[in-house]
Amino acid sequence: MTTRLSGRVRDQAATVGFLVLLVAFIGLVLVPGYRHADQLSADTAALKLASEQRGQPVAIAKSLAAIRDRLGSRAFVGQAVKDLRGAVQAFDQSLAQLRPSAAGTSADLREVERLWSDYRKALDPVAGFEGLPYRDSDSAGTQLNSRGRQLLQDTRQAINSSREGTDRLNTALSAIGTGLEQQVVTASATLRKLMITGVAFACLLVTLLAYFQWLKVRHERLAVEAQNQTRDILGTVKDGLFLLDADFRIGKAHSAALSALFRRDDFSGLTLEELLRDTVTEKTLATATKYVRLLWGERANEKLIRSINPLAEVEVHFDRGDGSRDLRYLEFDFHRVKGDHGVRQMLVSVNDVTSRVLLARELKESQAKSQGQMDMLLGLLQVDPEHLLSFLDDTSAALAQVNSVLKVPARGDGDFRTKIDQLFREMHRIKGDAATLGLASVEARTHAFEDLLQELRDRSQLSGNDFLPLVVSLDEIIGHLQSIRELASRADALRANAVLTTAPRAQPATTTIDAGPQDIAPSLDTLARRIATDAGKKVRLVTAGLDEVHGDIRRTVRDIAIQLVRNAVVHGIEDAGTRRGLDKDEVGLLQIQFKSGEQRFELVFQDDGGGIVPERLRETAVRRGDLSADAAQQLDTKASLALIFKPGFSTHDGNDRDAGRGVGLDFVLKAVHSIGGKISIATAPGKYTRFSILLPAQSGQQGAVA
Amino acid sequence: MLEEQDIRAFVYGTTRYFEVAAQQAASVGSPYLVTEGAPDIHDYNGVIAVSGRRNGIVCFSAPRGMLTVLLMKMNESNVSHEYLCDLVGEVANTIAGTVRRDLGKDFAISVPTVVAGAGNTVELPIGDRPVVIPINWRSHVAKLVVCLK
Repeated sequence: MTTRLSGRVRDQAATVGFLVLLVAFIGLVLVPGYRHADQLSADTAALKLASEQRGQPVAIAKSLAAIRDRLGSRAFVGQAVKDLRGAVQAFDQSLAQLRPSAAGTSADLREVERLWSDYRKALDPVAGFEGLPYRDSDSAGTQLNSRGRQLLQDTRQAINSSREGTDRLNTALSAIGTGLEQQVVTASATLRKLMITGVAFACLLVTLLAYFQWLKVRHERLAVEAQNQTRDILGTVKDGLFLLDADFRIGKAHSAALSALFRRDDFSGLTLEELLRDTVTEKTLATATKYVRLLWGERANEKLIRSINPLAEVEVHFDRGDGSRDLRYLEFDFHRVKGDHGVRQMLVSVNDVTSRVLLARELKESQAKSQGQMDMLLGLLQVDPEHLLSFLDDTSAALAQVNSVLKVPARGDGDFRTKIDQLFREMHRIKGDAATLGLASVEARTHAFEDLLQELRDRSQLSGNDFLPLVVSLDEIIGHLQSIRELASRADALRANAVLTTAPRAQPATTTIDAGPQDIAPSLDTLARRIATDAGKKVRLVTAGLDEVHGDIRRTVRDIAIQLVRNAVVHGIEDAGTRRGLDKDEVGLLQIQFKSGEQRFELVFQDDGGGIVPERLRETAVRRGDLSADAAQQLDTKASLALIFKPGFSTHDGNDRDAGRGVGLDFVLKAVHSIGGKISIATAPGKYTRFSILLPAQSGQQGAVA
Repeated sequence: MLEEQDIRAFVYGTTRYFEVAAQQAASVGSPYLVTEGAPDIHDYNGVIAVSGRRNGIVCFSAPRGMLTVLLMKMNESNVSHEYLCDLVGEVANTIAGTVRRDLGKDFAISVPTVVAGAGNTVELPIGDRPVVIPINWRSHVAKLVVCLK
């Protein structure tokens, strides 16, 4: 920068010097030379004139003598007078010519004029004579007449004046000539010096001109070299480089890589907006335009503005021509090019950072996923693998069923409401299963799905649009289960590895795995304790005969038991304080008993909680709008108890992940009916609630056979 | 992962077309996922590619009968294959236009392409579960297949 600046100053100084020399050459050499040459010419002419006039006084004297002599001999005097007159006039003219010359101001000329003036007075009567000076008579012959006599007298006086005047005039004229000669000599010397100076100036100017020409050639050569280097750089650099002017238009020069980046060649004159349009979203385009305008502001802090560059990583799309679009990520960087009067241009560099962006994104997702998976993996390691695998298979089937329910064509509100009930049951079962395994992430997702269902159930009118959130949620749950399945495989691998490395002591672990899905009781106990803890209660689960559940009904029994446990802990068992106040053990008791018979199985579930109060059920039904107050009063105890199986019916205030949506017992009833079973309830307020479920043995035996 | 707002924009674009062009509203059926394989599509399909905040394909798939009635409803007596193709492309284009207007700041949407004829399939991004939204119009059912990620 400094070198370029000093070079520019040097060139400017040289140009100014050249101009000064040129002006000096003109002012000090050419103009004075012209004046001196002019003066020399005038002086030379005056000198010549003065030299020529030196003979005039003598010529005048001769004319006067000739007149006198001719008058004496009575000869013709006309020609002599005429010659005198001509000489006088010639002298007059010479003096007139000498006045404006270099001798015009000299004392010698003034002396000549004075002498001539005096001399002229004597000459004028002679030179002005006209006519005949003679008279002829026979007697006297030719005699001077009076005018002749006067002429003769005047001539003699003029001759007398000439004797003195001629010498003095000649002397004065010689002095003039001498003065003029000296001036000519001086002027010649001056002119010679000026010519030498002029030649020196001319040489200097030629030298300067040659220097300037050399500079010009050098600059041109450097410019060509720079141009070639710029072209090579722009042709080789992998960045897209171009300049933007104040109108945001791209300049003529740009790097070759720009064509590959933007898949076009017509950049010159294109605005940045035109360049980006059709490749970025409108939002990005608007932001980019505003940002570039901001960069042109003189007061803008470039570093600050660059730190908020919205185009630092912009997503662009290029039409492939077949309807599809190619996604790329470009990085724009802006550098202000400043001149003497502020920002002149904007250098824009563009890079394709697609690989980097995708890699970073992948890495970030991978890290987040890894962290989430690690947490989940640790959780899964606590779950019995057989139970987990069974859960995943069952849940996948259940979600497929959920999707099938959604897929059934529906147009009217009734169709959609039917779906909601079905979806509730399916999702509630999945949630129950997840809860027994302690899979909180699945439980939370299914609970969120139930939230959506509940919201739809509360709407007055339903359409397919309302079901869109369900599909989105279902998609998320399916994806989550896929992740769990993958992690389960990894968990199995970890377990297998652990078994191998601790082979001599691995027997207990093997025993646990062999416990298999038949062992329903522990998972139910875990579920009961978890729900009780959440509700601030204490419970104890006692089971009998569950290990005898086989075959097809195992699944149903487990599902029913899960829902009954949830229902009992949430609705039946009182909190510890209340139980103490009622003289009950603060730990609530849940009992599940499974009995196998020849014709049927019996599943009995009992809790020692507060029992079911029919009046409260009726109040809930009226409050929900299921029944009018009058109709509710007409219900007997059996019909009132039947309300708890109604879809959506719940006495629980609000809803949480364990109760409140009226799905659990609806699910139990549907599950029992689905295999031809029956269910009955016995309850004593403040003491207990017992569900007795009779299931046909046939399906169980078939399952056992299978 | 699917986003409800995005799907809703495409559904709105579709129903809007029927409201305006056919002067008869269409209702939205129960949406569902395609968990395995490719979705079943009808004979006439208008496909638009979406990129930007989300990437993927959206396909309006309609049976010949629906398009024929739709053309007649629009006072068009020519119900040839070419006209049906044009119509399904126009529906897709209208959907694209509506979405571009509503979500244009976030999406770049391609010009529609038409896939017509029995046995044709629409190429969908691998690994995603498309959402199928039935579009009920009169007695006909079209499908809007949204596959975005």
